[in-house]
Amino acid sequence: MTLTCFHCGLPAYDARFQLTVGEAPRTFCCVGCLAAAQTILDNGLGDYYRFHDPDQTPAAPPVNERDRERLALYDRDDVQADFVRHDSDVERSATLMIEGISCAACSWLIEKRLRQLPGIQQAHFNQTNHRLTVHWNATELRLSDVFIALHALGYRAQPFKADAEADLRQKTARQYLLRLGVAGIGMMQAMMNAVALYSGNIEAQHESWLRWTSLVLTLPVVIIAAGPFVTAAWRSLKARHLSMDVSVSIAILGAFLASVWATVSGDGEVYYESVNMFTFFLVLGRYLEFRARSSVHASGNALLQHLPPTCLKWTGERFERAPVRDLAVGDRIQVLAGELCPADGEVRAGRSQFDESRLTGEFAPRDKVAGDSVLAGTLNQSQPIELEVTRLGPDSSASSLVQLLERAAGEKPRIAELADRGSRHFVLSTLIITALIGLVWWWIAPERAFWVVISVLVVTCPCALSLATPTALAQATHSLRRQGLVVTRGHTLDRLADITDLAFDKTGTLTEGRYRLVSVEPLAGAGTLSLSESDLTELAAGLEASSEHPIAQAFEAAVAHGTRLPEFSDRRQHPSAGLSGRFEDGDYRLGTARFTLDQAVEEASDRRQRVWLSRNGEGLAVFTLSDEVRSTARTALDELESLGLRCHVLTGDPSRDVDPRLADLPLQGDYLSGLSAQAKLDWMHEQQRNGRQVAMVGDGINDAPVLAGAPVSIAMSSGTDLAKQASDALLLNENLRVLATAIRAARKTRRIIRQNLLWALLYNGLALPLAAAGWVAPWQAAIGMSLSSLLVVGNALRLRSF
Amino acid sequence: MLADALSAALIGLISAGHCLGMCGGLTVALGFHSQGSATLLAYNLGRISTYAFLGLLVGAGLSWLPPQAMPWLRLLAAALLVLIALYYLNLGAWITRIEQLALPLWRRLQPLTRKWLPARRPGQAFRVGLVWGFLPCGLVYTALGYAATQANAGQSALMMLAFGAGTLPAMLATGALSQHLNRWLKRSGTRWVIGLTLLFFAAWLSVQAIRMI
Repeated sequence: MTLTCFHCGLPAYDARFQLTVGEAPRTFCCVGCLAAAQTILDNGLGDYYRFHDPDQTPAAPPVNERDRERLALYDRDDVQADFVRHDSDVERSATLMIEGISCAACSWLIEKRLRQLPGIQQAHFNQTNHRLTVHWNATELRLSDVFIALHALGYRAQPFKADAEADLRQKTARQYLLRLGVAGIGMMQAMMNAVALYSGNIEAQHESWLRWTSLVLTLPVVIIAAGPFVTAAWRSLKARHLSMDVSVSIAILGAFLASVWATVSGDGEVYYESVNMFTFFLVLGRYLEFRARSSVHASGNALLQHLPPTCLKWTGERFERAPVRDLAVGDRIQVLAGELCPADGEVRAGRSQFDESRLTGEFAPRDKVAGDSVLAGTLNQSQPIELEVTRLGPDSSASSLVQLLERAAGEKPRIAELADRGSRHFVLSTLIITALIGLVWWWIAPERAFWVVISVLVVTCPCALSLATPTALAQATHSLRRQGLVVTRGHTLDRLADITDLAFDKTGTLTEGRYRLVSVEPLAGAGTLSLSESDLTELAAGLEASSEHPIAQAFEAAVAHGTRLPEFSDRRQHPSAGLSGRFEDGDYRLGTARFTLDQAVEEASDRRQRVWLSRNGEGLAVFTLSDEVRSTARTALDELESLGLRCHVLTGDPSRDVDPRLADLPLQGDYLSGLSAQAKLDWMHEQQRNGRQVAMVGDGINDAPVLAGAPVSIAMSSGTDLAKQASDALLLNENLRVLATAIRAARKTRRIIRQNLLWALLYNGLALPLAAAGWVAPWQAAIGMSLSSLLVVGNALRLRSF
Repeated sequence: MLADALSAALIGLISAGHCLGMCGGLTVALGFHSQGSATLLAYNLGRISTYAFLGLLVGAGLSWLPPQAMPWLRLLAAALLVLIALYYLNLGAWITRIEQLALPLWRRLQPLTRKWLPARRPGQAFRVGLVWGFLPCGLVYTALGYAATQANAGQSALMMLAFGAGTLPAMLATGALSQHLNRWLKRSGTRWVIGLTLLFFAAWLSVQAIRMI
């Protein structure tokens, strides 16, 4: 007879309380449980009942054989080598990234379920970064059991590869929070004191009690929260270098020790509340700056950490699951729908759509067909697709991106160096000034000398000065990164703010850079050799094979997949002209008419892209190609114009008139065609001599020398070959409007840095005389300084959006 | 007064089994446990605030009663305690019928929670807790009956606060601890001890009431 409550599992006396859950009517013990179940269902959390027994312990749905087989791969030592730590002979630990966290109850469920497994010693899931840390006994449990358990619950787990730097950042973040917390408690002491003091007449013994409790509460603040400032100051002194921490430490330690003395001796003033407030706001400012800086790294590293550990590899007969570390360049792999691509590769068979947003910030899925490159860390959204691995591990696009970001973060732009040097001199001069002021006061009124010195030290702390720039730069870099523009040099933002002109390369920049073969027109030579249209296309494709020029892809896409292309020897690239190579007994050339043909031909006047193929100087065919202008080009140019920038087009294409496809673009600047790389560079220098700052936007490969010569270079990059990029910034998606955003961001960054520096100087210039005159009590100084630096950091954080 | 408040807290503490079964499951499903302790705490603070508010209402509502009525209030509270004790002793579920009385009110309140669910911030969890405090619950009514014996807004509210604080340990227990607790609470021996303790409270109240008459 025993009815049990569907929700809580306790006995239900009768079937009065019923509710349909899923399909079946369920019985509840009381109104409360019924209402709880109703709420859970109403919120779409019905899965709770699927995965939990009534006593809230997780239940395990079955897992099919295929998945088991796949997950069993995690038991292999070579797979584990990457991410499993051997804590002792039998104890292992690993960190896993969990995907599919949809409802907030997930972490509870995961931990509970894992702890039920025999041999699990510890399972901890971190809700904020979706990381699961498990410790288990290898003699009792296989790692695959953990994966199977997670899979059964509907989560996808992936090994998390320890990243020493990220760990360090996390540790630092935790330390900051601890320091903030401790200093926060100290702040409460300050408030308590204030209340007690303002409430009026305190009796002597109460005051003494108040002082002693304040001492006890302030001690941890000085040791834990302010300790790092003191050690940093000590380090910088040993290195014969004056940092801001020196003056901060003198102020904190001085005020604290004097207060301790006053408390113990029962005579003199105490400054506990000043110490607490000063420390709290200092730590807060530093923490905000730290967060802004580390967000840049985190976004890059997230890419690497998500790469899958195994993939389907072609073994000659079929695709089998293999560890990614066993892959080699040239291997054939299959990426199933819903899987992340483990390495950079080129599509060999199948077509699908990939979500590249992690890399490019662009959420619209990209079509991938044979010949397209697919990047590590991007997500296959629709169909299984076969790839040939082209780059792996540290060479992959994802790794390169992280390296680029780190390089930029490691470089200090001029303005930051200036501020740095400024604050160094500043510290020295404040210390000297403070000493002088102290001496003067010692002579006038010795009893006030001490707190005036403390006030001066606190009020002039150049925190705002040293926080202003790094925070602003980091925040701007991070915001741009999220829109798909990767700032790769420290000076990029600074220089972008000065830009007066933008020069665009045409192909692959203003246009999509994807040529399509429109028509093949055989010439006389083809007739004598009796070559068909497809023969001609194959010849062209063979000559273009492995060229990275956009035109090459049009030919590659035009030949049927699996066709054996003619193999050319002595293949050579002629910039702005074409390609040449030998095949059988002929010298073949592909490119402009001037380059390929012996006798001049009249070039057609409709300005469509034409490419000639010739054998020993005799024309074989004319290929007509088309390449569309990017959809964002028009609005982007409009926006750039409204920012007061002149836009130019520099193209190597020979046609002298404005390309009809570009005719209706709002171009204010020059349209220069037929330029060689050298000519583009000369033009750039000429502009510079005229006092104009030009940013060059190109496709990154063909324009490398021009990009290198420009004050600021921005490469349009589909994400391939990031490592080869020498440009100052990379635009990873095809949205040209991000360029306008970048300019706005750079200008706003500069504006904010200037505002911050100006504010810091004004504030210090104003506060110093006041404090020196003895009009500012230490606690007022602490508030002034803190507000000033929080204002600066807050101002910098405005760079989240432009 | 202090003894009463302590008793209320104790009632809250020992009736943890009930809390864990019903509210515990709810907080797990709604994810308060997994959001971190701040959210869980906020939810519980919300719940307890409602209890205190109910105590305030009842206390204020009854403060006009003449002193002669006080013993009868105590007897009423004792009766409620007996009912909940019987529930724990598996002897009868009349308390659930009393719970049903408040169902119409709950039906109106429950939709409010949808606005704040899933609760991601402590603020939302607090508001959800405020509403959930009104969940028809025999235990809360028993405590409320007990609080009514004070017939004073402040003191009744304080007693409900004490009761709520008593339920906290069970509700805040996370991880392995709550699993053990749950298993332990389900043993019939434990239930007997709880039931008898509640009966003892009822007896104590009745004795007080009879002395007052």
